[in-house]
Amino acid sequence: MKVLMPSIDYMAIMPQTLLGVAGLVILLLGLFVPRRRQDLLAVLSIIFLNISVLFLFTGKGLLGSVTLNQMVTWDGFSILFTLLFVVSSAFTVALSIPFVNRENVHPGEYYSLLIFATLGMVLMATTTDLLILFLGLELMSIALYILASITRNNDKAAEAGMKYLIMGAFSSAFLLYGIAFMYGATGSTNLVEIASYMNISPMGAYEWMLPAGLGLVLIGFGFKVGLVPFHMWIPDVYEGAPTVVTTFMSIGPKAAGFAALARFLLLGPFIPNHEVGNIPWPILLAGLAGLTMTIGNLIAIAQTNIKRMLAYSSIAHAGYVMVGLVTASPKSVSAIYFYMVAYFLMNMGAFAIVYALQGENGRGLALKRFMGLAYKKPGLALVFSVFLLSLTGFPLTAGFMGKFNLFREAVDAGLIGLVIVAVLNSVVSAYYYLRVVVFMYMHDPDESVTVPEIPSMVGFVVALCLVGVLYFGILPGGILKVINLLMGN
Amino acid sequence: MPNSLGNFPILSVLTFLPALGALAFLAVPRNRESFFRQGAFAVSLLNFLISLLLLKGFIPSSAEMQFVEWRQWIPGLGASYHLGLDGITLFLVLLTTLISMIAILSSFSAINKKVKEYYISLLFLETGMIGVFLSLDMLLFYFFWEAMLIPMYFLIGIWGHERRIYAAVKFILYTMAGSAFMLVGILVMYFYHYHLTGAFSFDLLSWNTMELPFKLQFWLFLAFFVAFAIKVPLFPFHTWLPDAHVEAPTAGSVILAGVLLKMGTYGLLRFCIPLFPVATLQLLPYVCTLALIGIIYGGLVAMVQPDMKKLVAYSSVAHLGYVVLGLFVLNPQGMVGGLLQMVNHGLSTGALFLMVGMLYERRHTRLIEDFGGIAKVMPAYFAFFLIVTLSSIGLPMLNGFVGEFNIILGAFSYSVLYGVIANFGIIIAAVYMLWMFQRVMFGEVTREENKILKDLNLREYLVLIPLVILMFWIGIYPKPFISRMEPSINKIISRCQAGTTVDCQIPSGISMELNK
Repeated sequence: MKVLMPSIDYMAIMPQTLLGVAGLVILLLGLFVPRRRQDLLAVLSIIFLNISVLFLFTGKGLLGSVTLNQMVTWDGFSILFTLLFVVSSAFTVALSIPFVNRENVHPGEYYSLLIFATLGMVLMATTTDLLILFLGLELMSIALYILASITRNNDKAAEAGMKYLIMGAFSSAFLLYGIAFMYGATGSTNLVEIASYMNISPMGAYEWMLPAGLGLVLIGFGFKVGLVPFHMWIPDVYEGAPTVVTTFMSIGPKAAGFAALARFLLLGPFIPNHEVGNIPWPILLAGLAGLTMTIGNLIAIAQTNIKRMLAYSSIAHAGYVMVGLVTASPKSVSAIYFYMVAYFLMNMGAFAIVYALQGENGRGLALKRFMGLAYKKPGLALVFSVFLLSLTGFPLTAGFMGKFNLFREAVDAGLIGLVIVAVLNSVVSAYYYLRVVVFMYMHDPDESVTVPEIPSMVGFVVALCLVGVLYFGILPGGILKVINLLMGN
Repeated sequence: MPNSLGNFPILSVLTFLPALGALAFLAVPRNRESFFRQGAFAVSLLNFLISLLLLKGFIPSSAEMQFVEWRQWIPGLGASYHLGLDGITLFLVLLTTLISMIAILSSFSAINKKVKEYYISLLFLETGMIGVFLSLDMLLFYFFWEAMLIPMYFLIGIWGHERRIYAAVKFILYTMAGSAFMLVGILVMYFYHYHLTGAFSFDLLSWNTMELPFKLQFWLFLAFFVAFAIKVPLFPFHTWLPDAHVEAPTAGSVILAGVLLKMGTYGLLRFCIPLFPVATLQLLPYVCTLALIGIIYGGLVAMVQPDMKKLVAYSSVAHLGYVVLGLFVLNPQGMVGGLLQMVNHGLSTGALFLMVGMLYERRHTRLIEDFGGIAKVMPAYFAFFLIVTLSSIGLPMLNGFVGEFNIILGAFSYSVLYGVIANFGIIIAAVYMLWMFQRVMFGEVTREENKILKDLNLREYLVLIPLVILMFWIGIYPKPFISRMEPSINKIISRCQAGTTVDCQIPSGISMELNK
């Protein structure tokens, strides 16, 4: 008897394979590497992550290869997002070194979980199959549940991990149920096939199944990326988790969620070209976008803890990205990606500074502790201000170019009302971002607060983010060209 | 592109020289305070001298952009680095370099804390302001327009008085809210341009050749107008101004009144009127009404202020009302008067804030009732204050008269009613300024502390003399100024007249029909 093997393009799954191997190797090595040498594991993780990036570029013909029964698809979209995930993870690993040393976290577990989460994100972005998408999402999420509560003796972190687990499991159930409905309606879990089914045969007897599935999947993703009204877990989890983990969670997984959502909405072209089940999806999505940014920004104003404030701000930013999804044009996908890059740089920078300043207590920071920081650490305060201005969306920063690109596409699609809501939201957000600047520059220093030394690794990451924020803010021409080229615009 | 100064990129130099100075300052240790004072003054003086070269190279009879610099910036978006100068911006740029220099000179003794940050902010502010006036690319303009807010925000918030943080936040939120609408307007224009011509472009000169359907013009006019009206500030958007002025340090007030407010009126003149001529004609009565309300209201409120700085702040609301009125009557006298009055207001109100600041430095109060009989104690101060007050009121032979006279002439030829109301404003201005002058300067010296006040020192003379010379110059012989402004103004007027005859049909295939 002859066993039939599916033909597999092994080169096309190299980046994923490498990440999986790297996670296992780090986990095993963690058992043998002595504690005083634990930085070695971080270095090794960064090397592994970098190699997998190299595969993106050297793997001949990676662009355009589809393998494993269409479960892995390398288009420009996959490559760009994989790059973002891997680089942001490498930055996180670099940031984590002081944390791992200080909190006495088991380094093998910690770094391998980071890598497995990265693998999950890569799987999410490189597939057009809903099952693989779900697999990647779970891999990422489970790693994140553990990471959130990795300092298990800390009450708040344990609470955060538990909350995250329960909410995450709940949303996964929605997602899976939705996928099941869609399979029931179309007979496939592959988005390409679902889309072509939509094009050829109008829905028959199971007419209600597709919109029901679509709605459930949307709710599931809504939880994952934190859209209002599915955002409740974000502030608690972001505040309770160790700051470096929060940094990680607020960037890669969020981008992965949006990558998957973009793939889901735009590839399986339900929206806005199809009126699935007579439900006005574009209006629904626009409502979600407007609600998300407004609620996120308004509640952020009331926060006195900077970590919690940044948590609400991340909800608001999810709302801006949603504008790109409502626009749903090929160019808006480029704009979403550019925004995620900008968000990665500015949020990583801002969180890294919060992380460095919080020192020993590990419980986030009251805004008051930033009083007069500009006169104790002028350079740091200046850089932090740049990140905050970028998050606000001031010109000369990547944050502005990101918003500008998103809104540009939205205006072209005629979504002027939504864009007006979004720009007014930027003004609202200026209030709370600039309040930190007020504390740093316009109050006299509080002498009782000691400012810890900034670890060199954190300084390095912050410097890279700063360069990125300013470069993409002033001269975004180059990267826009690359993105548009790879996205096929 | 070669100009009369050879290939020297004078506009880029003017724009970025202060910022380069500020960047160099970042590397200097903060305890070298006198270095920052003198260094900042040197940079601004150099920039002022370079800006004088503009006068030499400027072709007075031309209405076109001069000293033009063009370079690709973000090719994918169609944004370019495009600078240019015409008769409208020539004197505004000169005013900016002059006022910046004077503001720096005036802060030598007033600012003693966080000196490094202070001068860095002032220099960045100068870059932002000049950039706003010179940009001919809308994205570049927006960059400068927003970026300029940050240093001003710091100036008010760090070196201001008791309620400085409130004033700083109010200032920035008001202005940002306005520019948010403008950004949407810019994007709509951008796509309209694309649908009309097939090319993405933020270039103002090519936007100026577009003819837009009326409905679109109407909404776009409003989007741009809100941004500029807040900046001017036009009644009823003026409430941020008294707070910002009262709380800002002297140099901040001087720059705010001298240059920043002009950006609003400049924006109206450069963008609102020529880009949306039909909407301008339709909305003109409403804008003029707001301007007239501002004139009367600002004057009446100024009259009852116990605080000199607040009085001058409200007088600004009234003065800027004149400027807007002049610009929107859309005839040559009115518009030239409005443009000239922008410069005049910068000189006279800037000088008023400086002089109030000088008193404040000596007495740490700005309340009118704390003074009296200052004329006897400070004779030189008295003389300067007299000239500046009269210039602000608009006495013949001084600059204010030329501007206001032209504006009122223009208003009369548009509508007698407007002219009459505007004339009332002048009377009110005379009342509040002279009343304040009388209470501060004349009478007995009622307070012991006031008897020992020192008269002006050399630095203060240096600050005031250039402003006073210009006041007399414009007042006695305004022709060199007006003749350079006229061609550009006439070009805008002819654009408006041509705009009215255009057939206002929405072209087919446009995807962004406004869903109002």
